Amino acid sequence: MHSADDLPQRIAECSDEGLGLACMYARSVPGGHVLEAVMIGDRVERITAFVEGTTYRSVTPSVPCASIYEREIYETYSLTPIGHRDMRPLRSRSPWGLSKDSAIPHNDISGSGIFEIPVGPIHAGVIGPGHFRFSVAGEPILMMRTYLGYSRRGVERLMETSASADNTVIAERISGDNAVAHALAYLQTAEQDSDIPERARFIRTVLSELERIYNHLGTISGIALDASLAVPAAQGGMLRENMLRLNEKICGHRQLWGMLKLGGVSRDISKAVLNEIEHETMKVGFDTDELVKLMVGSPSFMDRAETTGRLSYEDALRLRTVGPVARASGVANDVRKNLPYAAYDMVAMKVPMCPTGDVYARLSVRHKEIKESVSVILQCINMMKDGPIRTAVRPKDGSYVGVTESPRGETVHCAHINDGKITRYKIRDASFPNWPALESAVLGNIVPDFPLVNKSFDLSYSGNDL
Amino acid sequence: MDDGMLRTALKNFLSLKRPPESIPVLYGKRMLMPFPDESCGLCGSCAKECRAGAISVSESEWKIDLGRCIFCRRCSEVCGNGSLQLVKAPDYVLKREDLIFRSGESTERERGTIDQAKRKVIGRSVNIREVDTGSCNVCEVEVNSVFNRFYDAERFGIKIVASPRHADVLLVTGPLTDNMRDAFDEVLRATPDPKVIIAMGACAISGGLFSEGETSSGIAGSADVDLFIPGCPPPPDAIIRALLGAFGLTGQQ
Repeated sequence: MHSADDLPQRIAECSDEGLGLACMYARSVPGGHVLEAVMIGDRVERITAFVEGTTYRSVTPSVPCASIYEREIYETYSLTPIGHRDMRPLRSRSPWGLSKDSAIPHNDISGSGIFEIPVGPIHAGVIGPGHFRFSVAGEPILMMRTYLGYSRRGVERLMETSASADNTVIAERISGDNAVAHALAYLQTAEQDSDIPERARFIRTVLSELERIYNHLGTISGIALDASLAVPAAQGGMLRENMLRLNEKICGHRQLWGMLKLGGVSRDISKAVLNEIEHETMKVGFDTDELVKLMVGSPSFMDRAETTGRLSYEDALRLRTVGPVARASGVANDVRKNLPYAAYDMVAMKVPMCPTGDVYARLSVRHKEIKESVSVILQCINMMKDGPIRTAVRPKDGSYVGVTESPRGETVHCAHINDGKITRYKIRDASFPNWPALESAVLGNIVPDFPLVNKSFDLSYSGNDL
Repeated sequence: MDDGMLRTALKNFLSLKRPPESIPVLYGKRMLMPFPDESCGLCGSCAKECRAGAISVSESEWKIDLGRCIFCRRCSEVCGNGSLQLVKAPDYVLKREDLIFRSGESTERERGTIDQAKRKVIGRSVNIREVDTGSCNVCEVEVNSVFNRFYDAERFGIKIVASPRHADVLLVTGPLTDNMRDAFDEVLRATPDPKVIIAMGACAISGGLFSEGETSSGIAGSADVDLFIPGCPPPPDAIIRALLGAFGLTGQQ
């Protein structure tokens, strides 16, 4: 184990080898705390460092994406990073931000004609709770700060105190629409190196791609709605509803909950339903083409989508954004390709990319991903053979990392198991590193474009807040 | 615009038929709750398996709290002698006690309407503000689905408004986290009286799986709930049936 003073150095060395800081967290040990950094690229590397006392040298000056993790560690363990200059509260929200003795600070920007617009935590749309502070001079946004944490339910604690061996039920509810990805990440930490039957692995792959399709359709339809295109928005909603109904046919739940289980899957998919999946997903692939054609064919939409909410390649890399957001800014990063799980090592797939980083780029990456998902599902169904769908698993002690690609991007679960009990569980949803990227993408855009940019990022509130 | 697509859209009507009784329970798997028949030996294995703590078994009776049930149906999988049957759960109830079902009693619940005075004010335009007090997203997904072209709740006069100040009805999801409590109190103050408060989903009704976390175990302690919609999450067809039934919109042409 390293001393905490070497931590920035070690992380920087790993970064030079092409790994990125995917997660950093602390855990208590006798006599102090241990900082754990998880580096992910084409392999997973863990760096641990022991912290005596309550301070350590901040990693943020050399690796900027560590900022949010250090703020999180400060809030939960009162460990102060020395040299970190932005210690705004990350998740603690009391008293409520709009009252006079506000816990939420004003944006540190001032000058004549600069106004601050507070928004939230209850928004006009049917979405999660979050508070935003815009500093504007006229129309363009000069600074935006997000203050989240309103959906904090203490999921990590629930995982640690759970008496059951199978916590898939909780993992599915971390961010409900990314249930399969979270459950699979949890199952990686619980199943460790056990051999999962091949049929179960194919079914898991199909489920996780079905989840991607319905999430991306929701985002595309939301982008259309926020750009005031009523017909494509309604069409997208219809396509998504079709997918949700297909999900219900497969496993009795519209969001695919309850299908995954420790050691495999809980139910098999019959031949007839597989045929239906094949048919429906192919259809949805073509329908999405039509839908996107309808949107892109409208000059007023393209005027709003192109160059809006641009996230530069440098920012995407610096903040280590993940998922479609990163890929739309030209960062090739896909867990399904780099660290294949389930049956992804057996299927051929491309990673769609787009270099421009604007709303249109994120839309087209999602569109292409739906096509890729359809291809992956068809390959899986073709390769699927009859066989067992479950096996017995006995979790072993140790520290494990589970990494999956949710529709929003790389999802990381870290578990420390001692005497068969989880002693520390850390969840990092894909939205967590992407929220700071939103702060940088909206700069220079007008306030009415914020919903559009926000929707194109498609970030989860509950996954971020846990 | 590609007029081929428009033509198909005009030809195929997707919206489900009114009145609400004809809005089908899709594929019949959702919203089925476990209930024992006479062969139940009160062994308690289902109560042990229940992650949400919804089932409790004593020496004389079997009891399920649908306000806590997350409809995972694990209990019926582990039941030793197969006496747990899946029966249809009510779409909505008006009182919290009605969500508790005991073995030997009826699983039917009366489809009543909310308080007459409130109904008179609201009439046939149900303006809803959805308040997320820390749910996991999926309740939002389903509320959004209620307004898509299949279910299209707006044709019944049910509408989502942008601010609590415009709303008559608060549709609350999520277990009411500690961080959200001040904001929720503010929403209650901002919504004009008489307001109807709906607790939707296991989290809002009882805290669900998160009742042990940093939450207040549902909204019942902070607000006067008029309508409970159980489910995790309730599917859109159940939400529509609940809203139409509780607001007495069933007779609409």
